[in-house]
Amino acid sequence: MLGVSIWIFAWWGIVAAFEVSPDFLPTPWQVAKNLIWLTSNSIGGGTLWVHAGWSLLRFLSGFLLATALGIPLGLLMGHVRLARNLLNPLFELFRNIPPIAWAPFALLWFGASFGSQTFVIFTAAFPPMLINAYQGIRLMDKGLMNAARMLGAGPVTILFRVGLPASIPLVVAGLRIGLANGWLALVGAEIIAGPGALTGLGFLILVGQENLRATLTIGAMAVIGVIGASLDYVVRRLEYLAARCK
Amino acid sequence: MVAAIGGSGSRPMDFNQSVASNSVRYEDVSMLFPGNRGAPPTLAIDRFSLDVAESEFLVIVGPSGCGKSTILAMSGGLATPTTGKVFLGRELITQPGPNKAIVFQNFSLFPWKTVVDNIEFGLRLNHVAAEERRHRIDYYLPVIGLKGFEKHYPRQLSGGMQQRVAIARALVLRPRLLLMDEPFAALDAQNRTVMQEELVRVWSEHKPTVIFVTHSVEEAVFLADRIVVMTRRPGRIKEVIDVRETAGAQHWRARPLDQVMRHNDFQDLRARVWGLIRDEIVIE
Repeated sequence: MLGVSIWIFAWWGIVAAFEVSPDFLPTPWQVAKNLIWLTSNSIGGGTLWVHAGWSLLRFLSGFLLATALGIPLGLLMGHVRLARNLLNPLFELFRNIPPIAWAPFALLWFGASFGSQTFVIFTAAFPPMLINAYQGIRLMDKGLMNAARMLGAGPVTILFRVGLPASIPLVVAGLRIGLANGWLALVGAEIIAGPGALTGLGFLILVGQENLRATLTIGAMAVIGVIGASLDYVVRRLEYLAARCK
Repeated sequence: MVAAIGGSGSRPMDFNQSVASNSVRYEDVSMLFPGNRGAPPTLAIDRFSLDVAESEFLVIVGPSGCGKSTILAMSGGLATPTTGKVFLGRELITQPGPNKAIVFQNFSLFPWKTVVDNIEFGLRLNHVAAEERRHRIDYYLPVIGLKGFEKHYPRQLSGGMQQRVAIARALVLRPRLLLMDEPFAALDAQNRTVMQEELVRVWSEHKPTVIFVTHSVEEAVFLADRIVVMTRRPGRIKEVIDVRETAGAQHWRARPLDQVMRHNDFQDLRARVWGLIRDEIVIE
């Protein structure tokens, strides 16, 4: 908290000392005032809550899709050689294409819509989840697999009742990286893959830039940072709880 | 007590009810491991043939790398011989399963499961009814001295306690064959002695056929009905020693190890086995 206050104070000091124009770099107070104003006044599609809400919704849909596909696929690739050989080349290609490069393509497929933004966020969050689930299986104690086979477990049981719990620490770490990646891709997704949309924090950044309102752009960026940090905190708590269960 | 647990023959887990005997037969078993990156393949086991009688306690000893763990893995269905066959009764062993229970050297307990859940997992996998699961666990917990530790996790237990959980996990399955891969190697000398004595006690209750692999000559002489001494790689049978032929040896394992060790016969046999192994050890 002290660290944060020092940097905000420094920002303020620089703006005051060099008499910077508010169009170029507003003071923290101007940014905060503008954000507070936006909580009860609309720009484009709605108030700050509406914009933040839409951004979160887009992010969550992409993130959950990446979780639902990435973790089972990673576990499967770690466990079944055929799946590994079949899917790995495809995945290696996929994960080396940056999320923003998918955006124009997403527009072709889904149009300027929720779907294309979800897709871009998905492309950012998906690889780390898959890789970590895969590594979780590959690095787990093979003795546990043999023990489960000896006890009479079939391949599916082994995957979900031995492989998954054994790789929980890595899976949760992958979740955390995927969360950060997905959230970082959000603004790009909203700016490039969502033209015409009148909602989202990315939209606010764009509006601020087009209207030379630095207070709005910086305010939206700050909100993005705070939400991202909060999301990470939630997952870190989950990680801690998971570690305690183990 | 025992009858109450072994009862009701219709349950899917009563392997002992099977018509087939619990003898084990190795027919000309060889294991060739392919060489990595152009290296020549390694012959780990060379034409291993042996009959193990039902309820026999067989101990395999030999120098490092003689393939004794490979024999155990093949007996448990975790490895397939390159040539030859392994039978349990009349059944060809092709895959692992609860009638061939294994106790691993490093325990391999599930760290996210409690003591009871670890023991119960195999029973659940084999659809043993809840009441029967309860019966068997209630029976084995005091037998392995872990009453009061039901809710503990493996990492909260000592190595000896963890291995007792692993032994209970194998025994609750009522296996026809119990395979033990240097189960006490990770324990200190005191724990080891106590565990050897306890193993005999627990094993005597149902007497599955046991194949036990160890480095320790003393352990072999104390526990075994017969000892198989292996040559260095490629592993062949060097000699099979019937411990029961030594007068008084039938009762060795039923008594405390420290008493038995003072017998001249015990020491002679230990020296003989050790002599056979020492010839096979090469310092590389």
